[in-house]
Amino acid sequence: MHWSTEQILALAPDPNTSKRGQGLASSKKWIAIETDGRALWGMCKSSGTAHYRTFVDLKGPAFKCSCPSRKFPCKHSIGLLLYATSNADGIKVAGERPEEVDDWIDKRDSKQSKPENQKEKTPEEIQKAEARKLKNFNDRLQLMENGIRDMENWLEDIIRTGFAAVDGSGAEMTSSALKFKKDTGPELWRNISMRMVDSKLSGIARKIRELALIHNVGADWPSRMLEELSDLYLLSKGFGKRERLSEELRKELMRILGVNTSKDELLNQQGIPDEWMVVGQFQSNNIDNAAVRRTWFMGRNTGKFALVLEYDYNNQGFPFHWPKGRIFNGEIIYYPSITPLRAIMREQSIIKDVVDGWKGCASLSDALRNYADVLAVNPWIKDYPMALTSVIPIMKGRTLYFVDKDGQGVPLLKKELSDWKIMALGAGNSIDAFGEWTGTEFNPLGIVAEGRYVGI
Amino acid sequence: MKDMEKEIVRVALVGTQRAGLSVDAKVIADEWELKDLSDEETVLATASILFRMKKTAFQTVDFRISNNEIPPKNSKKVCNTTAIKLLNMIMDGAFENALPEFLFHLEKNNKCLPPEILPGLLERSLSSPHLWEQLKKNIGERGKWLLRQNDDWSSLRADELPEDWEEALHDQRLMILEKTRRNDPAKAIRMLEETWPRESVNQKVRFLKVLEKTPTKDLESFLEQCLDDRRKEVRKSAVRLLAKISNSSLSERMFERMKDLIHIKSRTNKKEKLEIRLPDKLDDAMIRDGIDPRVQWYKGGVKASRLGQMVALIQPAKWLEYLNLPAGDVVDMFVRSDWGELLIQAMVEATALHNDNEWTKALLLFRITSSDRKRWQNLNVSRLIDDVSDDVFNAVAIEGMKKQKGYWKKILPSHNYSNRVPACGKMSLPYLSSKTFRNGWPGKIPDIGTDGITEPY
Repeated sequence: MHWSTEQILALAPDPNTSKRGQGLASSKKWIAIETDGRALWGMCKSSGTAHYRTFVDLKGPAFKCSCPSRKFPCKHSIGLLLYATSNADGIKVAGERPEEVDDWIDKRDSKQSKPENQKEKTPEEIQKAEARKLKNFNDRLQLMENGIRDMENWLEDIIRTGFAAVDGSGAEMTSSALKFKKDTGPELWRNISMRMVDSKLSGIARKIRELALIHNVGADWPSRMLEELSDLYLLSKGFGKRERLSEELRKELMRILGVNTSKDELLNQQGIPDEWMVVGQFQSNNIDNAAVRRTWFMGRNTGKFALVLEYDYNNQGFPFHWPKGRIFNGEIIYYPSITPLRAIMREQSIIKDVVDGWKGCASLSDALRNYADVLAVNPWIKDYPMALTSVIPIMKGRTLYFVDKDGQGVPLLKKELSDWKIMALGAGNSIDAFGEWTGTEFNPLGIVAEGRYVGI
Repeated sequence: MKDMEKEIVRVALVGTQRAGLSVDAKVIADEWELKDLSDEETVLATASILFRMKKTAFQTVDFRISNNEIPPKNSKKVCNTTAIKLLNMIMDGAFENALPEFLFHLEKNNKCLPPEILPGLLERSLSSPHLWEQLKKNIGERGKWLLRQNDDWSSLRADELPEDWEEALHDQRLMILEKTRRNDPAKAIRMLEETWPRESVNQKVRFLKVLEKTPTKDLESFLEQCLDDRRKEVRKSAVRLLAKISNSSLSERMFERMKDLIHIKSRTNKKEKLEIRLPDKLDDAMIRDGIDPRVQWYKGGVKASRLGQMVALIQPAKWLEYLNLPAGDVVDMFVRSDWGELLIQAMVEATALHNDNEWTKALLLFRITSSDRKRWQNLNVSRLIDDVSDDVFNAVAIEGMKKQKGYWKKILPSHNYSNRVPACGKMSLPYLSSKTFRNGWPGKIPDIGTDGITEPY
């Protein structure tokens, strides 16, 4: 157990859990704490008659607890790990794990490792399975084609009517094919989005739902709306000509449309081992009871970026906690794409070091050229990761810019107080910055100033 | 390219059935080989190319950074990571009252604040002179530098102000006035009276804006003189400020006039109703007190607008006294009157002006729980929320959620409730009312002793 108190507390989802976890790091609160080197388990006295059974997989760390808390990891998990690390010598080493802990560890291992010991299939079975898969895929393609046609009609209707007429008071959608007359205000987005879900185009459905957040918001909303609609149009045209696309680009297109590669499939693939720095993270708004968390990793040695997307459905909590500015040893496996970014992480374990800098781009011109190259290969790329080194934050008017050594600057996405946070961190000196480049603005997510990482 | 973008956005906004693409745009589309497409497809295809071109051809901005001012390095070290963590918790509202204690120990331990915390603290200092007194010793050279970068924090730079009030620059004069008003209110008024005849209209209005931060009785005689100013802008600002002053003679005069216009009418077997008479004509005294005879304040006509203006200038608490009813019942009586919309809109104005908690609660509750949504759909109460206390906000939000799940969010601006109710968008009702509301509010400070704070340094 090589974690420091600080590292463990960094895993807590909020300050309250961290504080309460510290309160539980006492021998008085626990019964039968044991470890076998891989797992740690114990029972925490609850206020009622039952005791909570808390397990820690020391390989992660990962946690499981029988308490009803919706926070993850809960205060018991934090408390147990804190207690065990500070009293390592006093923890009893068990010969074997209790059945419940063993099952859990097995389940975790089988999830993380490549599927093995699967029953050998006969050639006929394989052929049948392949044929079934192909038929399912063709059925799905047919559904998608219909959905794309619906979307194209819808797009044309919107442009014919004009955004200005599309509002809560009543859109003038008169397409006879789609009977849009009833679809006004929020319904306009919801109905077409539901049709896209029915057509197995969940990626498009999400994009359309998000259009409701743009409509009539901010002075430049017509331009942003047109940009999003033209993206949908390009997706539809891409889908129509998918046979002419390279395999990687076709996979990227299908992924955006909503054809997902399963995690099991990914786990069969080769990963990229590295020390992965958590360089940026943010959680987006709740849409349809699911909060989305984007965590950006950067390989300490490879310099590669990886984006881990996680969803919190119905406030159940995210599956894993990636503290900003910390480093994880593990393997990144990318989803198939021509510009691989979205990924999952395998066999991760937190290490002692913290992020204190990165090998980024010192010239903004180079960084932008790189982005243009990526856009030329993948026209559907949206926000692209950018790690900059030695840039100076300068406020001009009410806009913050990052200025490189050549005196070239790019504007930052406005984030109210965060702009001044970055100004304070830089104070006229150069800093390292990580963020997403939207094509016209830099959205800062992490800063390293004087060797210290600060999440934005 | 910019013109082309403007053109296609215009067409998309208006719709191709009303506005077609210009000839120039069509020529460009042809050049891009976008042929045999409908107008709608041409707009979409052109847009998709254009927005990508815009991204790939993004131009950086040229900066000459030779004049970049770099502050000297702080002589003190930044406090350690554990202390920063504690400070973040304090800033997040968990132990808000521990902030002065934190700053005290920071100074005692000869450490300085981490730079990323400075903006948040400077922002808070704007509304808390006490915090600023303590904070300014801890911001270091970097903090002083940062202070100079943001004009919004200019009032915190009052220490660097010149002595001569009349000779100082415009912005500095505002700061001097604010500072003097805080430390020696009577002197601030004397200063103003001395130079008032020589001030420009804009400067007078800005000075009155500064005085709005401390609307006290001692300003009254000076402001009464301002009511006779030649310029309407100055008179208007003075009226607003006088109305803000508790029990000011302007407010009293207005209330006396109102008593002639609004009475309670008793009705057998029915609830009491208000009998309202609109003001027929305006005398000079009323115009001097800020009632604009021409302004169309309300759709009901000029006379109704005059009544609305009068109500908006009266202290809301006066109505409780006059009608001898709690605010909620007065709202009900106003709503049932023949001029319900007018009175309620005017009361929103008056309540926002006086920041009256009881009335804020009554009006928000009325807005959220009213079943006649169509009648009140144009009543905007969002301005009442900015300064409302957490207690009132909680009470209103709970009531809104109990009665009409979801509807309350449409009325309260989202930035407000998401800041105040940490998980209100996600949780189901029973959980919210029983747990989150009880535990989730900031302000409950757990006992955190001196040792708890001192140790982490």
